[in-house]
Amino acid sequence: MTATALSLVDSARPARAVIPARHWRWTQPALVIVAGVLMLGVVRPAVFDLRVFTLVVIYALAAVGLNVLVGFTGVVSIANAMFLAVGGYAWARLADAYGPGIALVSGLVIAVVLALVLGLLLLRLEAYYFAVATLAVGSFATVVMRNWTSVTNSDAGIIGLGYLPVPGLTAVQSVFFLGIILLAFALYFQETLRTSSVGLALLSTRFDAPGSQALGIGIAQSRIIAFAFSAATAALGGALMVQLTGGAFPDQFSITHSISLLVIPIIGGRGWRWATIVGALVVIALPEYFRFLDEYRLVAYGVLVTLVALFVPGGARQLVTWMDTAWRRGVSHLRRKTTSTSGAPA
Amino acid sequence: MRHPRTGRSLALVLSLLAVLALAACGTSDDRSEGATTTTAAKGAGEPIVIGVDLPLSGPSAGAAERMKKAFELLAAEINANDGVNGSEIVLDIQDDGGDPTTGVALIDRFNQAGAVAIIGTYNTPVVLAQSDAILAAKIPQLAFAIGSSIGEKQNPWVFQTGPTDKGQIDGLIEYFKANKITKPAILTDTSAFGTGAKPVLEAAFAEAGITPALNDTFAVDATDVSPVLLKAKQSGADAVVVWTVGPPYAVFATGAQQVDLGIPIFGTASAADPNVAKLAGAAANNIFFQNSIDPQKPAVVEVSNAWADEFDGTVPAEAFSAHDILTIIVDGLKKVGNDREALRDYLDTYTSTSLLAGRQGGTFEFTPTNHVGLGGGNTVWNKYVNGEFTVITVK
Amino acid sequence: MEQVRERRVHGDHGQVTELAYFVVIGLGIGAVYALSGLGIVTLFTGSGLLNFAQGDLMVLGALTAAGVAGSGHGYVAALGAAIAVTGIAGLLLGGLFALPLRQRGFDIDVVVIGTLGVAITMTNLLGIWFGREPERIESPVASATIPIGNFFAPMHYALMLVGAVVVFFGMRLLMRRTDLGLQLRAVAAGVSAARDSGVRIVRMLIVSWLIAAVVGGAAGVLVASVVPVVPESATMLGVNGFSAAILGGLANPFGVLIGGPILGVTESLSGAYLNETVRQAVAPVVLLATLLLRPRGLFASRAKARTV
Repeated sequence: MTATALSLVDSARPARAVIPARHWRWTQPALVIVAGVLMLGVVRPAVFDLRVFTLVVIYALAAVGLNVLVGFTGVVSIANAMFLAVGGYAWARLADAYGPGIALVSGLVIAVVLALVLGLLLLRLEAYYFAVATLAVGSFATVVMRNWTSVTNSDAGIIGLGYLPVPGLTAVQSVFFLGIILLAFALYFQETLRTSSVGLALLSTRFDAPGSQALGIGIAQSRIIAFAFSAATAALGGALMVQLTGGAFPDQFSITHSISLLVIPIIGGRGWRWATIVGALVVIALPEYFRFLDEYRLVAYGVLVTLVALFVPGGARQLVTWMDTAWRRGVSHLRRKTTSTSGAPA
Repeated sequence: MRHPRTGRSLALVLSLLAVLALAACGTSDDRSEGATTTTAAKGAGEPIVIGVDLPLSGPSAGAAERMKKAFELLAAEINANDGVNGSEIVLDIQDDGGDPTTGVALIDRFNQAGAVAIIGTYNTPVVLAQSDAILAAKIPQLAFAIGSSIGEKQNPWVFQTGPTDKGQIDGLIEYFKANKITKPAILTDTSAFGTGAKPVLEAAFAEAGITPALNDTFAVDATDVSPVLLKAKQSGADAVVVWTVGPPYAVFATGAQQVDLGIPIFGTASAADPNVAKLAGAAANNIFFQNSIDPQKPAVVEVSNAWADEFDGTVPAEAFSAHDILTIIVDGLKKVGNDREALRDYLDTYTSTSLLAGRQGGTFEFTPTNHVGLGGGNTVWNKYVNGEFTVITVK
Repeated sequence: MEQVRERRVHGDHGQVTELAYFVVIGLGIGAVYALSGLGIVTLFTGSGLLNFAQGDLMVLGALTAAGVAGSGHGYVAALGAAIAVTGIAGLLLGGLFALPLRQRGFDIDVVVIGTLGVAITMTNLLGIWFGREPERIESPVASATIPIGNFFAPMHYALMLVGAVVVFFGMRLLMRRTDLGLQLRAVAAGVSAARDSGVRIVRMLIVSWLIAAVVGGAAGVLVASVVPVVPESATMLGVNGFSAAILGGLANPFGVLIGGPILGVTESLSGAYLNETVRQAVAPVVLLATLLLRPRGLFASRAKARTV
């Protein structure tokens, strides 16, 4: 960790080289929307495949904030299924009566407030204590979901939920479309954050905490902002999830789902702008197409998570970098060989 | 670095517009997918696909595995005997993990795979969530979840084997009345199973004029249930109704010994789970339940002997249920062929006295208004005595 | 239909025996939580890792022992088999986690996720290898009970307490009387100083995993006589182990031996005198309360917990 910080200080490169290009905040959402439209209009997948891709979009959306939390600030949270639940139950209870706008916004607001409260209480703890704390909060949230019958109807769940219809599209297509739009929004915020002063502050707390503190950046406050963002995107994802399923049950928001959410940015390459999309494809779509592995399917998932965490902590992005480096090395090696055979100095 | 003010205000404006636009919309409930579904292939000789949805990972995995084995055994037997009119049946067995989201996705998957019928699943919340998808896909579903809330949805494509929780509770109340039990303690587990049954229990007892001495809950994975049993004992109850699935009855059996309970425990049909005897041993005593299987029925004895080796001696009740379910579907396929609608119509008037479940001489029956095959009275009372359960005669 | 036998327990004597009964049950279960927590604390002090797979190691021990005992080999053989198998698992996992350490010193938050991956893998592998039916091991003190007033606490709860104490003293001996223990404590006190003193850090990491796994395995065998064990039991055992460890303080193994029973008794009494919902909430609430009020735990030693 400190090696990167030193290199930031030593090399004194111009800001341009360190701060990512600002065009991404427009181009990335645009690309996502185009891909979504192509998917619906041109590719037109069959019912099950479309459902899988919709779930991919939902998880990619829900994990954007967590990507910021884990990637920008280095904090691990195993509680985010709780925020999925907030968004989901808010939709379940409010959408039919008060309309989709109120339902989505309420879910988002409640989730953010909850995250702020929890963050204020817990984010002054050291990182690994916070991870354990989120494990406890997640367990406690499940107990609440099961017992707060007046709101959640406990394990019997709330069924017969409506979705936001898009004219000319079926139910699943509508949810897919809404998911793409919300994902585009979330990615816009992610990129804006990355190139803003707040985002740079967050990144510095991950790579060199004491240094950033010396610069006057409040570590706890930065982490709380990131945590709140992770709650916001998760709440939106949760609302979509119950729309897709047509029902809201505590079983949809368990620790397993928190772990899936966490694993998505890790496998994608935490902090990377494409992390949640790549990660969601691996975590959600792959297992559906690997069902031929039968009972070994989940074992393969666990092994993948372990290997990535231990050996490829940069996730898919790191693989891309490796391939890129290997390619460059190969090319320069070839170049050297051809120039040396022709007699010119390398 | 430029202050990205224009960018930020633009984003804010866009977000506000979006929210306003959303506020103006309503929600829709229509989940029909249009004419994108295909009917199953009708050629003779083509394998017939039956989708099987089981919770193979998660808490119900043990029972699900037993059912899976039984399905596979019977399918192999059927295929060895010329299959269905010459066509082989193929079971597409998938795991839903007890998660409603996955369960709903599996319906689409089975639809895409051309399944003619769907068998499953075990957990009531999943079946409830799948209801709309089944209606849209128009595939008949034969579920073994016992929630009576499933029947209340009146989905013409969904059938339940039964007995439902309401059916079992009706039988329970009948027993109580005949044996003068007036102050039962009601204990339900905190999972979907118990939570779903709680209101049904309360309503049924209220209707029958029985006031419970105690109404409490316990955790499915509780290591020790003596606290809640002690409360039951101290409430002056004359019986304890414990509503859970399988192995926890063993914990109750040992708990009853620890607090010297003294009064009988009444369980659900799943108390027949072989793990109860295995885990509690001789402590399993004075526990009553209604079994959907009568071990003395000749058909049951036959299958029991045939499958004894596969199941280490004792064939569990779920295996017999699985046998029945596949038999029903295959009988239908033999009559109407590889056609979803025709199969559904067949099931609507299905009746049989030769299935494994139910009393000797009892009838398993579906009608257009009743999609629960085994009625409440069509079960057999059993009692655990020193680690083994046997049929008892009731008044 | 049997006649209902009514037994009324009145007066203070009845109340006290009831309380005593629930305390005994709570202590017994708390002893198991303490062992689970001991594994977590050991691994933490030896490597800075929080082990989310501790519950799975316990279940591995329990199911191995159940298999051996079920084939008629007796309790001691079952315990031995469990320790051997979990020991091997510990060595394998230690070696696995040592690899990234060798290369560049690891990024702690990502490695923590590695233990989550191990937990997922193990839970599913256990289901495949041992099946998903619940297993139980006949206790060596099987039908004996401790009569407390009108109640009968199974003698095995006392055995669990004794077992936990024995394991703890074994650990204490290891830590204070052996060279290996000295090296482990050196690593816990400070990695660079230990490295400069010649301690092989990577080796200590593997040893920590080995100890955590074996302690977990033994705990699993003990708990399998009172609870039906399935692969999914790992979650409950793990969360309670974490609560006990945090409550006692991650830096000091002694703390967990107090933290575990406190947790167990609190759960038992909540279940007995309040209700089930409260009982289920005890472990996470205790953990959160500790983190909020006294993050270093009840028995924080003056030596700071290793930070990475």
